Amino acid sequence: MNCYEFELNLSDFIEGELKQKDNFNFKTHKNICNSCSKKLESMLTLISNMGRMRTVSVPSNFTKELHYKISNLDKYNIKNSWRFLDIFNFGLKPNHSIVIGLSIIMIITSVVYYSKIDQIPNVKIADFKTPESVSLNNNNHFANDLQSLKDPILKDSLNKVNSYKNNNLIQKDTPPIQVVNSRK
Amino acid sequence: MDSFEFTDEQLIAKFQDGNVGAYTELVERYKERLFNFIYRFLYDVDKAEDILQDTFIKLYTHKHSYREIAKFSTWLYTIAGNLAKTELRKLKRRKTYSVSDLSRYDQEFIIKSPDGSAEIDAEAITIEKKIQYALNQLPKDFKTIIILRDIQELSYEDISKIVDVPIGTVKSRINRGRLKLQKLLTNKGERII
Repeated sequence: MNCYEFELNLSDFIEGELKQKDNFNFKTHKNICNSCSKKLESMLTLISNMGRMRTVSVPSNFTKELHYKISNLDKYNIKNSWRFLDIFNFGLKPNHSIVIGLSIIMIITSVVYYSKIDQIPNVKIADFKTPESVSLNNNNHFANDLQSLKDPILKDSLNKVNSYKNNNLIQKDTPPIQVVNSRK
Repeated sequence: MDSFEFTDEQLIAKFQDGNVGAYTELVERYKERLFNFIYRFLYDVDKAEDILQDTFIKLYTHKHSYREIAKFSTWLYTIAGNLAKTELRKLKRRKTYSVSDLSRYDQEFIIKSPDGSAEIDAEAITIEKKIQYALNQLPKDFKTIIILRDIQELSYEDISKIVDVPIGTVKSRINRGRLKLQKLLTNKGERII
C-alpha cells in the first residue's frame, strides 16, 4: 500500500470497514510512514472533536411559535377554501359571494317552477285513434270516437259540446267540428 | 437508544389519521437533533430556527407524502436538509463567514456539552469554532454528509437515504470530506488542532 492508497482507506480503517488483507496492509504502511501515521492520528482527533461539539438548545418558545404558525395556517386554509367563489364574484368577500350565489339559485328555481305552472298543455290531435274527421251529427260514431280519445282536456271539451247538443243548446245545423290529424 | 411507547412510523400513521397529538410528539422527538443539524449547516441560529419551523410546517402540511417505505427520520432529515441547502444558497450571496465571528448562540443560548456538563473550557470552544469555520468552507454535499456522520452520528445507510446517493458514494464523500477538513485545519503545514 502506498501513501495515496493509505489516504483513500483512512475512513474505512477508522470505521472498521476494511477487509482483513487491506487492514493488514494499512497497518503495515502506517508503521513505516511517519507522515501517514500522523495523518491518521490527526483524523482521529478531528472526528473525536466533532463528536464532542456542543449541542445547541432550541429556543424555549419554539413549540409555542410553531403551533401559532400552524393555527394561522389552518385559518388561512379555511379562508382559502372559499376562494372558488372568487371566480364568480369578481373580488367580492366570501359572505357577499354566498348571498349572490344563493340569490342566483333562488331566481333560477323560481323561473323554472313558474314556467312549469304556466305551461299550456301540448294537445296533440295525433293522439286520436279516430278517423281524420269526426262528425258531431253522427252520434254513434262520435260516441265510439269519444271513447278512443286519449287527451283528457279535449275529451272534456267534446263531452261538453255533446251535452249542449243533447240539451238543444246548439242548433242542429251547426257545422260539424273538424279535428284535423296533425300528422298530416 | 430511546424507548418510546410508539415508533416514529406509528406516530406519523396516527397523525395521517388526524391525531394532532402524534404530531406534537414527533416535534418533541426531533426538534433538538434537527436544530443542531441545521445550525451546524448554516451556522446561524435565527435562520436555523426558521428552517426548523419550516421543516415541521412541511411535516404538517405534507403528512400524506410520507410512505412507510422509508424510515420517518430519514424522510424528515431530507426535508430539513433540502430547506437548509436552499437557505445556504441565499445566505452565501450575502454573507462571508469569519473564524472570529461570535455567533448568537454563544452569547444568548445555554449550551450543553454532549456529556451534559455546562462548563466547557475556552480551548474546546476555540477548537469548535475552528472546526465550524472549516465546515463552512466545505462544498455543501460534503458538509451535509460530514455533519450527519461525525456530529449527528447517523449510520451510512441512513445518510445514503437522506442524501439519496449510494452507500459507496457516502463512504467516499466522508473520507474526502474529512481530508478536506484536515487540510483546512492545517495552517502552513502546521496543524491547528
